[in-house]
Amino acid sequence: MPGAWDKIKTAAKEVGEKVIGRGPEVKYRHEAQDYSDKNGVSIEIAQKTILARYFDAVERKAAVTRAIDYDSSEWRAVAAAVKETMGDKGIDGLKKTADDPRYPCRPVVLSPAEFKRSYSAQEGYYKSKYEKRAPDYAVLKDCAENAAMFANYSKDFRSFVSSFSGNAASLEALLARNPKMKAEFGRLFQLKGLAEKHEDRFKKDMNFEKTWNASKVELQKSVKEMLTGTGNYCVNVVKACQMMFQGNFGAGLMKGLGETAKFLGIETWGAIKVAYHGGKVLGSKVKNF
Amino acid sequence: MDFGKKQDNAELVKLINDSFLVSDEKKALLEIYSREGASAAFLQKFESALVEKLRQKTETAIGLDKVIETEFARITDDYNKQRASLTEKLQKELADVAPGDVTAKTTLWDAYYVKVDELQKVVAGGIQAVSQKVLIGMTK
Repeated sequence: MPGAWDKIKTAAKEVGEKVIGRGPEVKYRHEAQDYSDKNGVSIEIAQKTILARYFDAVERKAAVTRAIDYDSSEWRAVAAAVKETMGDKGIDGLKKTADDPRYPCRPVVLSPAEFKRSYSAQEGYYKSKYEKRAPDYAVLKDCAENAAMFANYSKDFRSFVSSFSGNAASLEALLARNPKMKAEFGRLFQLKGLAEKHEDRFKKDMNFEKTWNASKVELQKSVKEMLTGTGNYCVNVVKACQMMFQGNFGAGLMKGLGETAKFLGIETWGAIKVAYHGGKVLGSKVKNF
Repeated sequence: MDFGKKQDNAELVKLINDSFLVSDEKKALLEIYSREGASAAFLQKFESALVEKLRQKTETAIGLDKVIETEFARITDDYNKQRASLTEKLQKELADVAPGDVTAKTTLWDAYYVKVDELQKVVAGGIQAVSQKVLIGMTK
């Protein structure tokens, strides 16, 4: 039994882990330990049971979105389980096995109808997240295929883990004996990585496009501001001269300003006209005083 | 017509000096003013100079606006064409990848995205060049 000091040290360590973003690892550790304590089973069995539950959550989420969610807390929990049971390099090991030609991928063939459904799910996923925008066909096609593979492998792996949940072997040992499943598990991480790449790129493209459009708007604004400054000066001249000389100065200038205002927009022209007529009235008042 | 109040004249001189006319034009107006005072003919000249310059500035602004529209449309068109060509090439390459070889697919996508980055850098350079052209045009 750990002493009070050990408990404090563990709690402090876990706070530190949470701070550096390893909260899900801490959560998994506790859930597995609680399950082991409450059900009187080994920690290895508890870990696999909790992992199977995590896969349930991944499947439930995937059933709703039918996409590989960038911010999936469900998948983050799976990753935490791997890191916790197989170490920080556990995921790399899984991916390496996925690349091993001895364990080729089980292809997932989509019928045209399935592909269409998956494709529109990817489109919907992006549009709901990014101002009703989605990437082009090539990206969505890849996402559609990847999401279908992800759903299939995820289901397989969940069955695999569940069927061995009563087995005393650790997840790592179990995967060592089943390299095909290990490869499939690794492929899930690869697919998640590729989905993140696509989404990161899409965000980057959107930002690029926004900056591009903003540059255009900014340039056009600068051109108009330059002319607005000139127009305002002209109005001031008209008003000042009318005040000073009580004459009907500025009719020609106002005509010129009409052309300028046409380019600047109707709103500016309205303001200029108001200023001109204000000046005229003021001028006539001075004259009649 | 006698417009010759002293304080008004000082204000008129200031208006000329603060105007967007070039210094030679200002100088010429001030010379006429010192000779003729604020006569109706002088005011007519002042107004004509302003109208002419305003017309020039408006023309320049309209021209620059067209440059912005045309150049951005050209850059957009070039970018879209080049990106479409990169995408077409990628799709051909992806078709040769064994189904489910995620690593091979990822490698192709990585290379594609690097090329898109390079293309976007070229576009950013193009936009910078247009901006410079417009800003220089604005000072004329």
